Amino acid sequence: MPQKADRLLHIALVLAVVLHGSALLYNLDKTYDAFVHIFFADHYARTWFEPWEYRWYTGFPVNSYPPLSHQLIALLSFVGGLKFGFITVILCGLCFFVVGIYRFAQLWVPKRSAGYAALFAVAASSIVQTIHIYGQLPTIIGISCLTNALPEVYSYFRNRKKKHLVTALSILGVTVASHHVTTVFGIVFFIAPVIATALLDEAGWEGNFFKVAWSVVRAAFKKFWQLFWFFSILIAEMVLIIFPYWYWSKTDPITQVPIPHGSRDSFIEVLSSGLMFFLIPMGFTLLMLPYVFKSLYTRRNIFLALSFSLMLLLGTGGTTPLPKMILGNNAFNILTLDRFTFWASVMAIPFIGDFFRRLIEGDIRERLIRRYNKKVYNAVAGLMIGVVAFQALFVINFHKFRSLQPQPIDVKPILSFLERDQHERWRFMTLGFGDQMAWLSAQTTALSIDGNYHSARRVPEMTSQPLERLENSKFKGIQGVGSLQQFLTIPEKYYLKFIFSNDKFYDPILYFAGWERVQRLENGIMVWQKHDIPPLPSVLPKKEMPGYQKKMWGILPVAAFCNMVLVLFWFRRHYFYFHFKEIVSSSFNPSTGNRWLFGWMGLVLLIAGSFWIKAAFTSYQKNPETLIKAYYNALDFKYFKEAYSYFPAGSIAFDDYVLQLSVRDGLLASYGKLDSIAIKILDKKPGKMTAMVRTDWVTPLERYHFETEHELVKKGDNWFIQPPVFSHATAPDEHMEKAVLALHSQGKRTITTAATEHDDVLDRPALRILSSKLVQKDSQYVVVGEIQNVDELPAHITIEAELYDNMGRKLVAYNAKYATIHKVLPKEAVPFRIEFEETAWVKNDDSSPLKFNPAEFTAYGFTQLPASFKVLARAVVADKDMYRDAGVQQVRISNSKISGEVYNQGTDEISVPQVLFTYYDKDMSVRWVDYLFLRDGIRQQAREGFEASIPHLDRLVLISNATEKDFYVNGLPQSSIEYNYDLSRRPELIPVTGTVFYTRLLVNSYIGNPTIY
Amino acid sequence: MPAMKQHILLFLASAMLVSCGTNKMPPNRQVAATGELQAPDSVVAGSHTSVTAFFSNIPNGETVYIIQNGSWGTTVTEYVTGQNKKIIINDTLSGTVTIRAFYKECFLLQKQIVVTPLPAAGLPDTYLGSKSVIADGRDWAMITAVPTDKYGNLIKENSTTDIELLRPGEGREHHLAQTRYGIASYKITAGTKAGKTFAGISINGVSSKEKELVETAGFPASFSITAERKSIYADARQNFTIKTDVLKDRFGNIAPEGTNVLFNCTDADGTIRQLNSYTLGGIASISLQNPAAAGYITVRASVTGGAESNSLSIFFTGAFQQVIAIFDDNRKRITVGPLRGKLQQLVPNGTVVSALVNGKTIIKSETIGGYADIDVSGLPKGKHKAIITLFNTNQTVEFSIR
Repeated sequence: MPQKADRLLHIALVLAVVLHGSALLYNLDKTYDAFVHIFFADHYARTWFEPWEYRWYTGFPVNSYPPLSHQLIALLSFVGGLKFGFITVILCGLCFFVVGIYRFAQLWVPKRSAGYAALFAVAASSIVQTIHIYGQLPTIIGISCLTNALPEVYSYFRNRKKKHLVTALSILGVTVASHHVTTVFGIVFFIAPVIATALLDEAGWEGNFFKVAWSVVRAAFKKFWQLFWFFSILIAEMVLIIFPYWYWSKTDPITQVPIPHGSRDSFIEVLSSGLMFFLIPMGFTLLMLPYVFKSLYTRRNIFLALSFSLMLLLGTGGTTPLPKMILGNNAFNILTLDRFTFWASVMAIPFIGDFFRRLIEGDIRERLIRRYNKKVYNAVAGLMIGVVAFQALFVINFHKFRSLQPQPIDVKPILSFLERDQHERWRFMTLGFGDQMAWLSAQTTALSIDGNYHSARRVPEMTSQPLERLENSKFKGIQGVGSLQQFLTIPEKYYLKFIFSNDKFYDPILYFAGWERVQRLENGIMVWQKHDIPPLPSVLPKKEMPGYQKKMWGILPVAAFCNMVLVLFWFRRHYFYFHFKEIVSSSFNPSTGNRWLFGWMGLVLLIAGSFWIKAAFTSYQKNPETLIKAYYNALDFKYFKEAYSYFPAGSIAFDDYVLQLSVRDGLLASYGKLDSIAIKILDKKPGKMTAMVRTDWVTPLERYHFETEHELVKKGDNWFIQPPVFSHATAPDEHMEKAVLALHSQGKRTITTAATEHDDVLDRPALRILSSKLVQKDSQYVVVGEIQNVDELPAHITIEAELYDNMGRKLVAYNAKYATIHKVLPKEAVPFRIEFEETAWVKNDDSSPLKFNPAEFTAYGFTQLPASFKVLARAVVADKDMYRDAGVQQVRISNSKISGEVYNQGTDEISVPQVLFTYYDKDMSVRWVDYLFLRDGIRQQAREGFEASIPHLDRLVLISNATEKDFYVNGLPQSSIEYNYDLSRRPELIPVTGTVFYTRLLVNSYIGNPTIY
Repeated sequence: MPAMKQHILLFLASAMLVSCGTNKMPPNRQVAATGELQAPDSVVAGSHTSVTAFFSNIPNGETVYIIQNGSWGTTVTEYVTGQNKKIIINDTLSGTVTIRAFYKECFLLQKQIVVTPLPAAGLPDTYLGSKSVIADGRDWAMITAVPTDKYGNLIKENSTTDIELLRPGEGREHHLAQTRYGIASYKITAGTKAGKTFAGISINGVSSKEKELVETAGFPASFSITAERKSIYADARQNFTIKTDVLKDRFGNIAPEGTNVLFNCTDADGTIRQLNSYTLGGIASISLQNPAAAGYITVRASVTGGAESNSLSIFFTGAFQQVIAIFDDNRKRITVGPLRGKLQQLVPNGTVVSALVNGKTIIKSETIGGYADIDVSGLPKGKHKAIITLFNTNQTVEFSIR
């Protein structure tokens, strides 16, 4: 007799679709992973049977992730597009999960409670978080299938009916095809306890403990063949359906170094990780822990109880050493542990449903009314329901409280940029896009060197770094930015020509690495390009997969899905029928347990409330050190109103303060992030204090250390900090007039879509390498030199040095990075310095690099010592970034220091000034090149002081002094080029006092906001 | 043994490859038949050429195979004796056409016809490089053209082409060049006047596209600099301009826009300035801040590898007469001021005053309303000495911290 499902299930299903469906429309582009899954789906929509995806990294196989959920989106995308496909699949998955929870709950609680559980499942914070914050579609599909399969597994081990076996395995096949991890861990944490419970129910669990235990063991032996066949088929299914995945993971193991994940943090030390990976997914379950534990720790539920406890423990990450001990070091560093919290929270849902049944229509309700009165009961019940609703709405709108992704970016202008002028022939990179870079990739066939699926990447500069994506490398500190720098310094290796920047933090890196701004698109994204990058070859390398595996990958997962649909349709009349006696008992007794339960709830809410109240009302001004920290924190995050509130009243007007800050530019003011702070109290008097604050700031280019003295005064109970003293210097002229060089390279002069003709390409500007040396500084080998643009047009230059051993074998090659000026005026001579970093490999056949860490510069590990070198320079015509209106003045050399001022005589404000120091030998050949980034920007007709140490030039070991035959310009040996001018006519140099060396200073200016003419 | 096996296999494989690669011609057997293939020895490309075949000792109605090998490939025609049909050849590619006759797999005879190209037709592909040269009378570029007939055949060797050049200054030149290996080329030597040279090639009345060669000025020759001052006071605030005259190369051509010019200055106090500029209309100018020290500053400009300017000396008089500094014991500050400038007015806000305390520490402060406050509260108790400096004017203050 078919049994009808509880009415609450239907309500839950409607609620799931309405609540999550409408919220997803707004949240889709704010989740972490939704676009990644959409990108994978787009791959299948384009090439179903070809697993190689060229668009990310240098190509990667999509069979590195189970495909079903992506393939389903791909199929639906033909109906309504990718986003429609994603929302439809995840909503179907969610509905299936609600049904699954309803069915799974009936194994542990009464049918009515299962209805409440289904209702709670819609609002459970872990589910809401997985959908609306993480966008984790496969996890939802995986857990929905697992919860649906478990009652069938239970039934099969109770009544041996093959229809349960068939149904269970059919559903588990879909679990495997969509999220293999859920299946693997599901066997341990879900399937095993359910089978054990089935055996326990079969054997009977009342009576003497040892007798019960023995009965269970006997039952297990009796059902050996059932167990054998079930697990054999399940494992075969797991292997077969996603065989190409297993084959890939075996033959192409992950080389990625572990990437730190907040779920492995100590949640006490890192409260934000605790919030994201424990408190939010647990949510209301945390309040219900006593009830859940009391319900679980019964003789019948003991296996589930152990599983739940273990998962809860593993979910606490690095808070205690236990998870690491249980999982082992390797697994601990690879797995993201929040999945255990997620599963634990799912396991608790039936019992929370049971609680609500009893609260709303059962004995807890009776007890509360009897013990207190109806009003109290109403208040309690209302509070409980309110908390559940609040947590669901809070998590759905979490991004409004804490931004997890950049603002949505309209990708259409970028797509049209990529499509025009054959821009797709080069790779691109995004910066500051967050996960929207995957959405951009899903819309185009252009290739990106970056990607959003780090498990499958094989680019050594990335796999050797604990870096998820290059595009958010600033969040990974020095290692992240260091890795990015390599791609920017040797972009030709990856055919990387265009960068779409949504974060001005990276602008100075790009500029000083030789990139130039092309245009700002309509969506505000700045396009940067690097000149002289060869286009992608027409045939790109890929790792071929056997043909049968391609077919398996394209057919079997979808076949598993179709099989499940057919089986469920076949057995639809009995699907909601629970074949066994309804579980009615619960070990939670309201008369004794309510006290504990509500006491615990009160305690948790009290602690949480206390934290909130403390955070909201705590004054940072009671303690001078706290005040200084709060002040610097406010400066770091640009909370200027807060920073201003720490100044004594009347010391400075707010408008004046903000105005003074707004006119400051520079590396520190515009691009700096506070890295560390230390405070030392120098002088303490009643009501007054002087403190020395040592701060370290990280900027894209330099680390800065400052020691600043602050005066603090006490007024009333609060301490205040004296405001900073701003410069009052005024410019001499009210109005400036200056003629500037304006350039424009037109390229093709005929408006046509045909290929560029010979006539439309400008000649490469003629260059001359004036001198170059290979020197050893400490243990590093460095090539320094000077190059001149002898052409009549400005040049963008790329300088590469190759080192050779004494047998003439090439060792390494690298490009000049920051220690040069990449845009050179006609007849201008600029210095260069090329260092050889660990991953210094420009050609594909060079040896694989090891690790790169710019904070502790690791010189290239030479197996043979370099004996000679070549310098290869090439140029294309440049027409941008030619600001030369800055120079040095007041230059003094004394006590191994060189000091002076940079003076800006031009009409643009210099955002980041860089001083290049070139040191010469007596014969005017370059001995060493150094540089210094000034901390502050320089306004028009203003100056900024600098001081730098003069390196010990006599300690530099000269390895090789290059001659003309070692120089190549624009692909030709320099010795074959005739230069008709007198090189001996050089500008005056500054003698370095006390040495035989000379120096020249040159200013390279990054203009953050160039004047628009 | 395995090595021998390998050698044998290698030999067999090579033999098979060689046999596959051999151009299998019919056996060159002799038969009693004779004959003649009548056709001109040379024809022009694209023309219809009739070949008449005569065979003796071959009965009528027999098939003779005529095989043509030309630039397009091989064509086989069946020729039935007695029907007196003509064989028409129409080859558009220049080269040699070889006609062979075979009868019953036996080679009978052959005839070779040379197909010559037509006169040049259509725009020849023309290239000019490099696209710019220095107008120094020595530098050069080359114009090349690949003239072809209407079928794309390279035209006859040693065909004469006309090179027309329109040099800067309207001078017109005409040169002749012969084709070699199908290519006509001419080396254009730069003149001494900067500008654009327009070049074109024509042959048999067919002209190429117009090509452009930019002739630019070489490295600048000597030039001079002059100064324009707004103020004669060494106040480290106002600015003055240094300008070059028009930078020209030794032939009088104005330096290209953007030519880099370096300015080196030495101030009266021995400090150095190094600034960059570039030419616009041949003139480079630079704005310098007035010096802090009174006296002469010396400026010289230069172009790397090019000329150097005269050395220019400019005199600046001191802007400040006196620095007044008083220590305020209560505030633990040295008050400097009132500071007055050249017209006895208070100095502009933001003028930097520095104090060298005890010969070690430098404390800087800026003026507001003609006064600067130097905070010495951080100094330990005891006697101290500070030298207050406003540009090159000093004042010593001795004070005690209690």
